[in-house]
Amino acid sequence: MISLENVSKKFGKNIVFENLNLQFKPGSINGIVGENGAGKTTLFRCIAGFESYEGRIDSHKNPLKNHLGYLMTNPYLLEKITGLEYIELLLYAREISIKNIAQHNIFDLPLKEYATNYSTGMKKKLAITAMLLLNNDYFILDEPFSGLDIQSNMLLTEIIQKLRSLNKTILLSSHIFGGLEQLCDVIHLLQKGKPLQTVLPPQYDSLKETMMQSIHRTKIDTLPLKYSDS
Amino acid sequence: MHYYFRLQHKRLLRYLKELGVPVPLALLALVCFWGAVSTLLYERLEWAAYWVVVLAGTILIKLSGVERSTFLFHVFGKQKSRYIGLVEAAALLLFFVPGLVLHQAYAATGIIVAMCFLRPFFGRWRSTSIVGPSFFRKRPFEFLAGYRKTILLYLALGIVCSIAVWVNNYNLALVCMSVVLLNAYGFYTATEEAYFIWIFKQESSSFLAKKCRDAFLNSLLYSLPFLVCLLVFFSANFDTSLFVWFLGSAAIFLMIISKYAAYPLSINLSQAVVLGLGFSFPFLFIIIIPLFIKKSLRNLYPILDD
Repeated sequence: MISLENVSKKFGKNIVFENLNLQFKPGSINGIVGENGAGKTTLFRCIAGFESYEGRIDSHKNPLKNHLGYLMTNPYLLEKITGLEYIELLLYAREISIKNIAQHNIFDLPLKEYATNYSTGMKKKLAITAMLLLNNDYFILDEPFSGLDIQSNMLLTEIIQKLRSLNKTILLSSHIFGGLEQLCDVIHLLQKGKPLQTVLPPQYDSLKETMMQSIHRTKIDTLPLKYSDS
Repeated sequence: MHYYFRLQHKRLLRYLKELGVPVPLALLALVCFWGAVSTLLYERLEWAAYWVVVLAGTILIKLSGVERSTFLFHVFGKQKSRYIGLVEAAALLLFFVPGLVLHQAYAATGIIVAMCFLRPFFGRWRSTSIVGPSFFRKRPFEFLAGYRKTILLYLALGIVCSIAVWVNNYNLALVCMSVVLLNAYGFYTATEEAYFIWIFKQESSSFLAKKCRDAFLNSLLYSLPFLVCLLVFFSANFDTSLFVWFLGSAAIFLMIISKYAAYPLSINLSQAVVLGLGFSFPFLFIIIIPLFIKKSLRNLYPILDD
């Protein structure tokens, strides 16, 4: 369980979110949605401990960060380090010993090549593999599906469902509503300057409709796009 | 394209502002620092001009990085990106050539001029994808990555050190070991992403202690062939060799605590001045070291303990 009590975050005078009260239960998948800049990643960074905040964030297991797997939108990789060495580094940091890492290479990555030479999708797969080997209880997955191929998306969906069945607490953000609809037990909508909206599966369709209505289609006409003769 | 140079000028000014001192003062300090370093280099080292060539070559390789070159190529096209390359190379020449000409190093000047003006006409620099062997594996990543990045320098220093033993030149062998340690010092200058600190299970004090211990053990391993060579073949100077090795290792330790004392920013000018004062008056380290450790722990606390 992760619980947030009156959590607020400001950057100078800019209020990102205010007085958030949330509970993320074990064995649940919690979707976080919102427009770009609504504060999804900032919320994740606050929970992970990368950002300071006002209010309280508590967890069943402490310190939270040592039981948390955090998949960033664009995972950080180090130069001149192979995929295998990246995994070994994270295992070493968390004091976990796994003898045959290669047998857990679920995405068939070329682990002996430099990770910085991987494609965008492969980098994400590497970060997911490493995160899953760290024996975490809580997971923050920030845009986990972006950059992945269709097969890997399907595999990741199954992995997330397995994590739920193992009583893990999962926080997930995605810009693909279909993925969230399929996976999440609850969706929280973050909107700038508005209170948090919590939506349960029966109301997902109306949430989708609300989000569609907020699209500013008329703004497309302001672009200087011209008809092509050829 | 002129906008590109105006933008570069703006970026340069921003970097200087981040140093925490007024821009004119930072520029003056940079010029004085380079003047002092190059004077010392030309006075103390027999092959100083060629070390300058190596330095200029390293900067050129950085400027020719594949991502940067591809960006310029896509935005400006082939001709204009070459022109930008030439202007940047000319700026680099302004920095190095006066010193070389002043010290009558005409051959080195010729090499630098040729490198700078021919560079834009060659392809984009690609770093090798061949995975080099390493003694260091996962612990710590600074040595693992640093060793691979500078393996050619390490091998070249090994060859020069062997020649130094062959011709019985103690000073040259000592310089080789110093450069090896200086290179290891450089492994810790880059500020890592917070994620690579956050992921560690330890509290800030244990994390810092572990970083320093790993750096000490690995710098010993890294410089051991050179140290052994000095102790065996120049045993009469064993005290100087050990002293220089100790200084090099102490500098790595200072680099680590300075880096985290400034974290998440890079080491600023005021910190560099404090370190410089420490090296000039070593007794000041009695104050500087605890101060930097305290600041490091304060900066690491929110990431590891909070």
